[in-house]
Amino acid sequence: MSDPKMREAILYAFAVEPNRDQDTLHRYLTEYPDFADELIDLAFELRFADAQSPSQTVSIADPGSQSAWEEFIASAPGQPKPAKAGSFLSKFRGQTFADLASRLKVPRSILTALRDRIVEPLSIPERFLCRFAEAAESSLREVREYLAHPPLVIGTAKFKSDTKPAQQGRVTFRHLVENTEMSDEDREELLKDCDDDGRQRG
Amino acid sequence: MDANEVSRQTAERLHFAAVSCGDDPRQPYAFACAEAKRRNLAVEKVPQNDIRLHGGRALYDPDALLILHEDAGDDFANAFLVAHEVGHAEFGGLEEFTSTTSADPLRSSEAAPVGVERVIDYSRKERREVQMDLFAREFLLPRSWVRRLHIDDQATASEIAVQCRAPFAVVAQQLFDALFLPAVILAPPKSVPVNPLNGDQRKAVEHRGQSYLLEAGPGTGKTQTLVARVADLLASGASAGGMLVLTFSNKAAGELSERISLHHPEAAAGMWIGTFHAFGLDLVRRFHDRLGLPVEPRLLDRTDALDLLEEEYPRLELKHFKNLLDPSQPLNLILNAISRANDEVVDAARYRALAEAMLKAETTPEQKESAERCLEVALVFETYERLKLSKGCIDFGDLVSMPVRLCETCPDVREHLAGLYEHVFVDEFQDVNRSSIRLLKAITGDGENLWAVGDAKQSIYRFRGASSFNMSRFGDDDFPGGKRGRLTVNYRSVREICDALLQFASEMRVVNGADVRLEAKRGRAGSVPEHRAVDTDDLEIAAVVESIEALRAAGRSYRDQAVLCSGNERLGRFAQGLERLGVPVLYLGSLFEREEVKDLLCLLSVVVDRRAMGLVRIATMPGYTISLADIAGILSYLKEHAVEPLQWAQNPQAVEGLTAAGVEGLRRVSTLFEGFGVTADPWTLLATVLLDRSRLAAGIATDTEIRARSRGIAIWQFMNFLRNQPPGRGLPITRVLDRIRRLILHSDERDLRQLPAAAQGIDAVRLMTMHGSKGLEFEVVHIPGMTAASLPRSPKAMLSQTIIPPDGMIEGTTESGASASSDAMVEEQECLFFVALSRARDRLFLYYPITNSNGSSRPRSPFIGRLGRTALGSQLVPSIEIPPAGSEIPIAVSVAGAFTDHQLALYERCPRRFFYTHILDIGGRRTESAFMKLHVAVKQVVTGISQDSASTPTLADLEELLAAAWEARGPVDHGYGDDYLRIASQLIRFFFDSMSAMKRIPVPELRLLIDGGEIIITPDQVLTDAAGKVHMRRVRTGHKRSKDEENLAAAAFHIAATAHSPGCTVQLIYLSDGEVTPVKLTARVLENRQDSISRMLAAVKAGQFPLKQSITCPRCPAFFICGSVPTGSLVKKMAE
Repeated sequence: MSDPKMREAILYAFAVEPNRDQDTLHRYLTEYPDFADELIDLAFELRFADAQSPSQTVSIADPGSQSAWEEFIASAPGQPKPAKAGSFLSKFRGQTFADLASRLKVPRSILTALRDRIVEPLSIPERFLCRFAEAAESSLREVREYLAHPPLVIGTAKFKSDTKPAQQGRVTFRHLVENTEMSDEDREELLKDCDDDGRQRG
Repeated sequence: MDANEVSRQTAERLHFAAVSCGDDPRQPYAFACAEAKRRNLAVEKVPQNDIRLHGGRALYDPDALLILHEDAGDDFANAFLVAHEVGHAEFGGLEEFTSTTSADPLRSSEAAPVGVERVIDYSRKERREVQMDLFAREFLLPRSWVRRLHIDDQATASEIAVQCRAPFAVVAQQLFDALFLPAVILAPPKSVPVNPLNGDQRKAVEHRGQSYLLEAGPGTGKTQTLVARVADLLASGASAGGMLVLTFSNKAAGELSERISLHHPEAAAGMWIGTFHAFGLDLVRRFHDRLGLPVEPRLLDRTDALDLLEEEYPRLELKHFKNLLDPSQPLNLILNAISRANDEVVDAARYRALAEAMLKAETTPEQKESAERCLEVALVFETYERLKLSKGCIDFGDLVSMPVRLCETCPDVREHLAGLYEHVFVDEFQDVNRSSIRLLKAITGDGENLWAVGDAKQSIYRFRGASSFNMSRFGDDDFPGGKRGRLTVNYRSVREICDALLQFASEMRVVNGADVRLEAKRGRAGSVPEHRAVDTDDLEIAAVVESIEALRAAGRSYRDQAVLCSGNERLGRFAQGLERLGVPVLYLGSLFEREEVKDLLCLLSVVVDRRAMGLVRIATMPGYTISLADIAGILSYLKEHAVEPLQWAQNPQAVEGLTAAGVEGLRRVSTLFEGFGVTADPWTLLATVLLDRSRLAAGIATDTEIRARSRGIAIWQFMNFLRNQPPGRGLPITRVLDRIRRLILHSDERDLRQLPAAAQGIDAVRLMTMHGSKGLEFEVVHIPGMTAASLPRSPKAMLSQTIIPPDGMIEGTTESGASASSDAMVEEQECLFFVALSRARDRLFLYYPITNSNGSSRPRSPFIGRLGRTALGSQLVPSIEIPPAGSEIPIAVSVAGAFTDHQLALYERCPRRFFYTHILDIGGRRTESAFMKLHVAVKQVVTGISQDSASTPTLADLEELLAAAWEARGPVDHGYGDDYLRIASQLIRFFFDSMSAMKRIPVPELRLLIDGGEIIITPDQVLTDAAGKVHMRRVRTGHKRSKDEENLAAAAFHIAATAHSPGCTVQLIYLSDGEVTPVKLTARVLENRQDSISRMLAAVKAGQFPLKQSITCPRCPAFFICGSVPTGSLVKKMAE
């Protein structure tokens, strides 16, 4: 899809979203970081318009919206995952990803959670972040920046075209680790810098 | 199917490779994880709904070399999730991230094609999920392994489940697949194209621009051309996503998709390929809010639709379509008419307008009646639309007509769709109806890039509104300026067969003198088509068998031969005949009427039937036999004593008067049901009986006869059907039994006759209807039943079974609805024959019996004559004889005593039913409808009055009696109870009026002595009129059946009544009709009837109780048990 056409399709798709809340915006920003500025502008404009006429409902039935939606959906799986593609993690795929996990002494699913940015960035202990940055041959700043972006929408949410992508939340690092099968020592090692509510200490 | 089979066989291979590595399949989770590990994949388990699962239950993440799954609670469920993802890794390669939401270890390898499942086709992603479920089940429990455990090690399904830590249901499902589905040998992928494209094909492939219709006769390579065009377009840069391929069946869609994916797998996944209905459903879902429908509108099947309308029926007060016993009969006809109207995009309002115009223009009583009938259809149509709308439902007919109306009224929708689909393909264009044409017009505009292929000579779906009219209008009224092409080289049939085809085609009405030339690529083979005359129906079967065997001796295997019949009834007869003569056949027929399936239905029924009539059949199953006398004893004991179902199973000894063998037999039967009660789930019950409590399934699986394979397949199909039951109220078993009766009554089970794809490899003769043979080809084709009465069928006979549409409803016709329908039927019959002929590659045989069962001669089909000298005729006298059918074998009963006229009437209707009802005395309660309850209440009033002739009741007295009877027996709880009561009052009123100005006198018991026995008749009423003339009456609450006044019971009544009161009149009263029918039979007829009665009595004494099959069989209480009877003799005392 050519850029101007895609831009239009994406903005239109966003405009006809029944619920244009923070999460929806985040989702679009994640998928289409190139259009971030326009999306944010549009979101403000629309919010302003909604406030002017609160009774107005958005009809999803407008075939224009339908086609926008379809193009949006259709463009998603084929496109490279933008935020990921440019990230420091993109070089870790397959065996290198597995090796990275074992260097960090974490099960692979902890690493995928970080990759997918579904962990509250502030809940991750500083010490672990440093280890992570080092193991991934990156800088702490780059890692922090990466993790601060909205979560990636992948999986079922992305593949089911008949439903809208599910709202992607985040969990704390402690929650993540506590729900991961690993040896007690490894778990303790990971959690020792976390306080009880999952926020990192200090 | 093939993709499923490939993944299944891969899984099996991987299983055994893992076992040889030392992995233990009895530890399923470790077993599955070990397989993942071999692939360098980590398996991690997280809590359900963990955020890392991204909303799924499991995922395969190739970037992280990870299978992540939820903790599903037990070892097997977790193993299943892992194995499912291993399947994705195996088939999706290292690229595709997959997330799984709907893993189902019980997934069936094939959908049960009933009701809505017919339309709903899986999306590519869903197909993948199905494939992976089958992969996972097979990897953990390969068919060959569970089969060995069950057959060789004699382990029950439950034992295997414990051993393998798997749920019983999964093991049972896998055992059914293993025991009953034939092993599939995978053929190497078909290499296409076989022939390089010829000039005509090339031209069609390369056409661009205006709409294009390719006229492609049989065997001319139309599918190849269509596939080549898709490839050509892709090569020239068209996007697969902009291609829409519309076919006539899911099967055709699947085949096309497969053919395309051979060379363009990506494109096949990206294109929209499916039926018009599936596409319509997709549009309805996309535009649901524009149509005023919920997101997922419920799709009604015929049975659901009837349920909706039956509720309303008492309020509709129909006259021409009145049936107060079973409204589903006329309603079913009306629903056909509504569906036909939908084919023409005629809605209820338009239907009414057309009907009103007819009424206005009528000049004869017949025309008036036709118009009134159409008005009644319009009324039901309106009601139906209202009901559907209020419940947010749609039906099959709406799937195309709704999108058509939407496109035609909303230009934005139309433009949107036109923009989406750049290239539209239509297969089998001759079978497309008006609504589909209008949909095509909507999405292609002026027809730009519409490419259709069809053959007017193969237009055999007139009843669905297809019309050759659409072919002839192409390029003119429809898609003006469209181009046409024609394929003229037949690659399928030898020259001799092509000659016959051509000869017949040249005179077909649809051809209308057009050029039908066909060049036979294959040349001459040396044998011309033959038509063979034989004496009787039975000899015809023998003749077909002799031909089949002769050809087989000459090197043609069974699987290369097909027998094609015009109707299902003849087909069923041939299937039985061929099987009885030892010819293996690939044919299921009516699934629920097969012997082995009826056995299962009886096993189900006894669980909910206090009187356990299903035991009659169970007592014939090997290993569970009980003698006829003991069974009769058990049934009569239960009739008197049983309070609860299965009471006998608790304590078989308690049943009085049985032989020791009878008690032992009953005990054995009772072990099948241990632990089950009325609330049992039908699938679980039967799976337990077949795989745990008995060796019944193992017995069928190890039987080497081909017939046993069909039995296995039928059971598999039935179990698959049972698994998918719609939810509802009441006991699950009762519900499914009721549903089955209804499915058969309304012919809504036809698709269950289709064999699962796995059966196609069996070396057996293919049996199918001519309709079903479309699109297939066989080396040898046998076509029996070529009599004048069967082919062509007269339009009059066919029209009598349908509702004639209002004049002007069918587009493209100017004459009346009746003659438009009749013309279409004549054309269709020719097409049907043409389709059948053109299936043959090498040899073609037609057969026709020349004598009726009563000895009169039967003319042969005029179609044979139209083959002229392209076919050779001969007369055959086959030497083999067909053994009699089961129900024709006499039963050893000795009957004493007199019969009533009711019994006489029943024997005349169906001797087999007489046997079950009056000799074995069965009488299970069927589920009573509101109308049935109404009749019970009315009957109670009539009987009450008739018994007391002394009083002279007023109408008010009768109303009072009705009120009391209503309270006790009527449908008081029904939402429309008052409407039913109003109808009941009308019946009572008529009953009262029929007695006016007459005096009731005491009712005598009439006895008619006849050669061979005695008939007892008790009239319902005897009246004298003012002139003193006596009227003897039989009063019925229901409707009159045709010729009731001429049957044996009426004759016996007449003879006995006039003997008792010479000069009296004999009358039959039908309250629902509001009519008094006199019995007037001439002396000669009466004499004949008397002889018939004598013969009937003799037949009863000789134990002759053959089955008289009819479309109303599913209503018979004995429907499920009907068939084989326990061995032994029985003494039966009738009335004194």
